[in-house]
Formats: sequence, C-alpha cells, structure tokens
Amino acid sequence: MGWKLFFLGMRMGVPVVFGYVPVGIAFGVSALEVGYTPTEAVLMSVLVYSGAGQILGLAMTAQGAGLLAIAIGTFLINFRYFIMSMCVFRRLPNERLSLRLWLSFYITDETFAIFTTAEERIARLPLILGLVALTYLSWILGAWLGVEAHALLPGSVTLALGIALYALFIALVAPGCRGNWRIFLLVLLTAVLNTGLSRWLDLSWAVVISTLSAAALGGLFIGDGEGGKDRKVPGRQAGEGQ
Amino acid sequence: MSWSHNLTIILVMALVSYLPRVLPATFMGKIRLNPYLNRVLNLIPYTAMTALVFPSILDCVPSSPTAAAAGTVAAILSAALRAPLSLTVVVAVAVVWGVLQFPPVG
Repeated sequence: MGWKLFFLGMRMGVPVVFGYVPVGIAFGVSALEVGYTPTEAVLMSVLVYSGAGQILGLAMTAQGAGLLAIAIGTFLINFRYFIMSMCVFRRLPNERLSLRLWLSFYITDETFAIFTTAEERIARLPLILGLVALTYLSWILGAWLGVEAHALLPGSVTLALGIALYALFIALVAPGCRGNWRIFLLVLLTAVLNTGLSRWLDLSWAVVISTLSAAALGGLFIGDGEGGKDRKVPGRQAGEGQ
Repeated sequence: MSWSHNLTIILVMALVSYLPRVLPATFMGKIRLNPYLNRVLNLIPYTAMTALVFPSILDCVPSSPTAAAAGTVAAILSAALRAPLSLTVVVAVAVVWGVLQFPPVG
C-alpha cells in the first residue's frame, strides 16, 4: 500500500531527472573550474541540494566573495523554499515533527510543484518520499558525472567552460522574460543597475544590493503569480525544453 | 580530506539553504506573508541571477573579451530561441572555444 504510493512518487519524479542530471553535470564541471575538489563538489550537492544556490555559490567563490556575502546571497536565492515548504507541510499536517524536520531538506522547486499539485488522495507521505528519493539521487549523480567528465577535457575547452555558469543563468532567466515583459524589463534594469554599482562597490556587495533593490522595486509593478507560480523556477529545469 | 575554505563555504551554504526549508516544518500554516513581500520573494531569483551575470560575464575569459562577448550573445540568442537549458550552455561554451581557436583578425 505504502510502497505503491512510493513507486508512484518515483514515477512522477522521472521528468525531473531529465532536468537535474544535465544541470548537475554543468555544476560538477563548473565547481572544479572554480577550484573545488571533486569530493567538495559532490559534497556540496549532497549537503546544499539547491541548483540555483549552488551555482550562485560557485559564481561568488569565483569572484572571490567573502563568506558573509555568499551566505546572504545563498539565503536570498533560497528564501523561496520558505513559502514552498509551507505549502508542502500544509498537506502533511499529521506527521511527526522529527520526520518533518528531516523531510524539509528535500524540498525543491520541482518536488514542491509536483507534490502540491498531486491529487489530494495520493498527496501523502510515501508519495513525497518516493519523489524526493529519486530526484535527490539524480542530483548527486549529475554532480558526480560532471566531476568525472572534467578530467577528460582539454585545456582550451576548460577555459571556454568559464562561460558555462553564466549561460546557465541566462537560460534559467529567459523563460520568465519571454512570458512577461515586465520581468524582462526588471532583468534589464537589474543588469544596468549592477553594472553601474559594481564600478563603485565591491562586486559581491553590488550583487546583493542590486538583487534586493531591484526585486523590491519589481514587487511594486509586477503582480502576484506573474513571477511566481507558473515560471520555470531557476535552478532546476524540469520540463523546460525537454 | 583536509579542511579548506571551500568546505567552510559548503557548510555555511548548507545551513542557509536548510533554514528556509525547515522553519515552516516547525510552525507552518500560522504565518501569512504580506502580498508585496510575496511578490518580492518571487522576483529575487531573477534579480539575483541577472546581477550575477552582468557585468561579470564579460570578464569570464580574461584573455579574450571578444570571446566572452561572443559567448554572451550566443547564450542570449539560444535562450531567446527556447533552446533546452543544456544546449544553451553547450552553444555558449562552443562559441567561446571557437573564438579562442580562431580569433577574428583586426
């Protein structure tokens, strides 16, 4: 009975795997580029488990950002999990606290999306356990594959890979821009603002200030749901272009 | 594995990634975010990623700003044309690699 739901959850997670593995590979390759050891790269995927957060962490490491700036940046980009976690646990009101504390680690954009839109009668504990088991393992597998692939690459390719992280961000931001010209405008504004600020400030602080002030401004002219519910969420690409 | 600055970064990141996930697990359902704050939170992933890309992307190949610029244009075009995420990454890297191999004369 429970196992049936567990395997159903795994089946529902299969499309997510097609998004996680390539991004995981890009992450693994980029981590080594930035100076992480293979063990550290895989460990980051095991312990952090946040696509956008990890890639942001790499970019900030590459830019020589301090620990505090990295902590603030990662926290900001992951704060959306707060809201997702609320929605997930609203559907699991009767589970033990210890179990909820443990399960919350595995909430991502995709596991949240799939679990909270599943039919009421199947949206139970075994379903989300199967879902997160498969997706979490595929994220780690991707990082490991990326780390392995890195050793096989010649130097000129490694140099060119410096753009991989940035290309990934562009690809992640694009769907939102296409879907909503206000978001496109906000993205342009952020780019201009940060380019200006980085002339006067340390780059990592310019990033934090532009991120917050542009989002605060965007909140005034971009309505509910426009940047939220139906956007392809940065960090993971389940389905986008698959 | 000896301790490194990167390990510290990983642990700090693990903590600040777990924190927003775990808090609602303890007191979920009792809070309502004000709608404005909700909208701002939805937009932060966009502004954060954009701020990381621009202007840094133009320096991503220290030896060749031309290659970096070509890769930037390629990534934007590829993403605008709805290429799958991994293809956009490959296209950008390939263009940078190509410009490095065959630098434009001039």
